[in-house]
Amino acid sequence: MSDSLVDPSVDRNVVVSLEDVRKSFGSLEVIRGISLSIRNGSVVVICGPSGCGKSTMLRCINGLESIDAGDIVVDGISVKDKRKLRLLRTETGMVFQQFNLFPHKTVLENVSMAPIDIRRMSRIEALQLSRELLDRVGILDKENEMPSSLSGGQQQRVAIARGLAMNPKLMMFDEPTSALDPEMIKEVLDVMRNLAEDGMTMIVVSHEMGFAREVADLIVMMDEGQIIEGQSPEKFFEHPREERTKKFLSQIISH
Amino acid sequence: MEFHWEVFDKYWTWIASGLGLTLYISIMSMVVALVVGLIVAILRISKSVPLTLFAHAYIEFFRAIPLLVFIIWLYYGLAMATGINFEPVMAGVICLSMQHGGYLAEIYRSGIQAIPKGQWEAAYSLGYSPARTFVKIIAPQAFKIVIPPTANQGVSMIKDSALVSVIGVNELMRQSMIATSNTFRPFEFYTVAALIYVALALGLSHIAKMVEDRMK
Repeated sequence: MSDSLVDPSVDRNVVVSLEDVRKSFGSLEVIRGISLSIRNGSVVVICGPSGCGKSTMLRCINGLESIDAGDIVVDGISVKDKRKLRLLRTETGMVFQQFNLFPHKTVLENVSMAPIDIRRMSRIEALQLSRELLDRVGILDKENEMPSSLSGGQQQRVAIARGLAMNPKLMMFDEPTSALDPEMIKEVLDVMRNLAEDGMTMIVVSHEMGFAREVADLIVMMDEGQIIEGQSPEKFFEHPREERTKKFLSQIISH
Repeated sequence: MEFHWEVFDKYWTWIASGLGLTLYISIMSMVVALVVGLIVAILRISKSVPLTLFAHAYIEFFRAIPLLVFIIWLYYGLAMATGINFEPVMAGVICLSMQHGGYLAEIYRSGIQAIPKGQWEAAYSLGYSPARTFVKIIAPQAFKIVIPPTANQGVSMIKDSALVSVIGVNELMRQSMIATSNTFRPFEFYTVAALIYVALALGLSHIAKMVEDRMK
């Protein structure tokens, strides 16, 4: 499916648009012509078998990986505009599978340092904002702890607060619960659910199909570097078009 | 074997001044080597091919060349070939810091590369530039990792500073040699010299340990 789900030229509410994006690692083409538009306030969940290119696609959106062809525009800024890449990144929060908190900084510093360093916010203002966000993700009581003393679920919630502190237009989640023990998955998904309810535009690479069914506006199925199906949750689960989607769903839901 | 410690009545000031110069050379060389090492390490991991190649060549060259050869070459050879004449102490400091800077560059490089890539990516995704990411996120974490091997390198450098004696610098080793030839009491002077080097090494290790503990 190469046609855009929403045409960016007629819709001013589009936050992210990908146009025929291609990306290779050496001779291996991992993204093979992806087009996708994401509107303000919508939640897109991307799923697909491992190696299908979903994480790479996410990393292309904020320029952690460069693209070989096509274009990605986030809030009017193209990832190909190297001078504006940092600006694009400040508008794009990212949450990683392995949390990637800064281990030499306290929880509060982790959240507040980018607003101070990059947004040039005053220290007092940044600390206040950070405490509000830590409260929102339910972890304010740990503000002075080091990340290593926190559980995985707690660390991931701090990572979400850190991304939110830049007041981004878009939040991206790269398998945010895959490294977590089962009992901690819910606390992270709950934070993400609340975020979606507050109207945040989100792209989530995840196999949490319960979350996808409940929160997503659009579920995108990827395979072999292409989007093979993009549907509303109802249609995606009840009437998947593609055989590969059916097979994928039966595999991850049956276990 | 009998020790005649009374030889120190006359020569202890020699030894003391030798120790002073050894300390001076070691500290100067260490400071310069730390800076050289950091610069070469950053060039080594930079994305620019020419800079990486330069850093690579630097490290390989200074690791391969024997320090004694380098000292003699820089002090005598360079003067004969070009007329550039360094003070002996200066020549010693240059040689020690260039060579140990090469070793330290490799230590720093491995320390920097030991920090997971996710740390760079997390900072980038917040809008940090590569330089700022290095200063605020990577270097503070890498610093803890490189303290013990850096201290090792410092100990090695203190001992290497004895080689500067060959170009007539009156540091601890040379003062001990002169005192020996004046008194024919090698064991007394070399034993004391050895004990002083050991004491310096232990002192440096202790300082490194304190810094390491404070970082935790």
